[in-house]
Amino acid sequence: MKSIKAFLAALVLFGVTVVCMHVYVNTHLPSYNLRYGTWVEQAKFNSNEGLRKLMQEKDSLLILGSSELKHGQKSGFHADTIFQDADMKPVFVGQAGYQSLIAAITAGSMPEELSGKKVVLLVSPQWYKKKGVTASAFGNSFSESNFISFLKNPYISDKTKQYVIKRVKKLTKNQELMHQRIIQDVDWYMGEKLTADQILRKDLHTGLIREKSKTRLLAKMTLAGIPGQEETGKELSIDPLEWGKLWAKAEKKGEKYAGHNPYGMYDAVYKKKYQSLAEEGQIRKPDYKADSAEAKDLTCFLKICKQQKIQPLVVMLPFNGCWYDETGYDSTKRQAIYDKTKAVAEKYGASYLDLSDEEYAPYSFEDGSHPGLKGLVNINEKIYEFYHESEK
Amino acid sequence: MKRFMSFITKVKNKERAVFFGKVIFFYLILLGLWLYFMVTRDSGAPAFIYEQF
Repeated sequence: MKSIKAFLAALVLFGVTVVCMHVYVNTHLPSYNLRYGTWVEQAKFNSNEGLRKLMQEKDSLLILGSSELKHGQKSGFHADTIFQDADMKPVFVGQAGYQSLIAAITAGSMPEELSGKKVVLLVSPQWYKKKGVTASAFGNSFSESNFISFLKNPYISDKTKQYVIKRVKKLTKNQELMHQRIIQDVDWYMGEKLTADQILRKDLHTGLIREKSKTRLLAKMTLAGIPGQEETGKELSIDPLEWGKLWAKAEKKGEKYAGHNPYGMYDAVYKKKYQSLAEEGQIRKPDYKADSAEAKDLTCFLKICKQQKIQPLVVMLPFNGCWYDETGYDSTKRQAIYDKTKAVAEKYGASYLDLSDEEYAPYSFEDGSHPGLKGLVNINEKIYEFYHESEK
Repeated sequence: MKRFMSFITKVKNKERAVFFGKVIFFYLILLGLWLYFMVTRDSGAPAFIYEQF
């Protein structure tokens, strides 16, 4: 009897603690600062409320992509440093494995925050595997919090939602727990009228998912030492002359660190990995296809943008021409992927930044696929111009 | 060690102390389970091995 009383007392204390934690988490959701905005961390991408708060920031610009968002950070040529004190606040969402389908769900999960705004999607040509995004990459990137918000979005048509649901179900069919949750979420948010019991379960589950994603975000931020608010109050435009300085700096650094190998990448990266691959003939032959499922996922992303009156910029990142020539994946095949992406972007009225002519640009790559040095300066400058386009 | 054991014996003989000890024990278990659930990654998510393209 005394043990039961002790347990009940502990339960009450636990309840009070949970309520206090809930209040703390909700009042300490981080505000925008450049370090947080450009932080590449899944806990940040998975918290729908965290992302929404970021996108409520004036001058925020959602930049969706994959591994290129992290590569090049701290080099002095990426957004994590270039846009310090700028009047454009980049919000990175994406890391290795993120592709158009996750971008579509993310863009569709913030109706109030993104409607009428501009969004950038960095498309890597390596996304064009025959079946598009792999099941493991997608499952690893999936956010139930964003997915639920996407299902609730009143601006997205049922047809578009059904396409996403079909893709998501197919990609998660081998992850039993995740798959069951997705089916349950779809039933709750897209199904027939719910009973009182179902509504209770739905609200409880959704509440737990939201609470978990916010708690994880705060925990990860604390561990990473990411500040929770703006670090400076200055808001200045980048002087156009500074882009010139950045270009010159990138050129100089490229001459020193990236000018001594046949593939236009950092010398250190070449020596560490690519030299032995090339010399020993162990280069993996790529198999990207223009008729990949990725093109349909990209179409879905653009449809979602149209339905929410988002103005997208599709940035077609280039292959590293020198490296891909070595792999045997010739320019004709590469051009087919560029053409496909361009055709999809133009069909849906998206702005399109074609970087395909940068394949052989000197000092533009970090490695066999990621932009670096001048490649990064170019991308960031063009994104900044896109952001300010209508102001001219 | 002797002083510790005599302290434990004294605590065991005081009902109130035993009761609070149980409350703290149950509380820490509940809190531990809650924090584990809140902070760990979704168990449904697969492992993704990133391969350079």
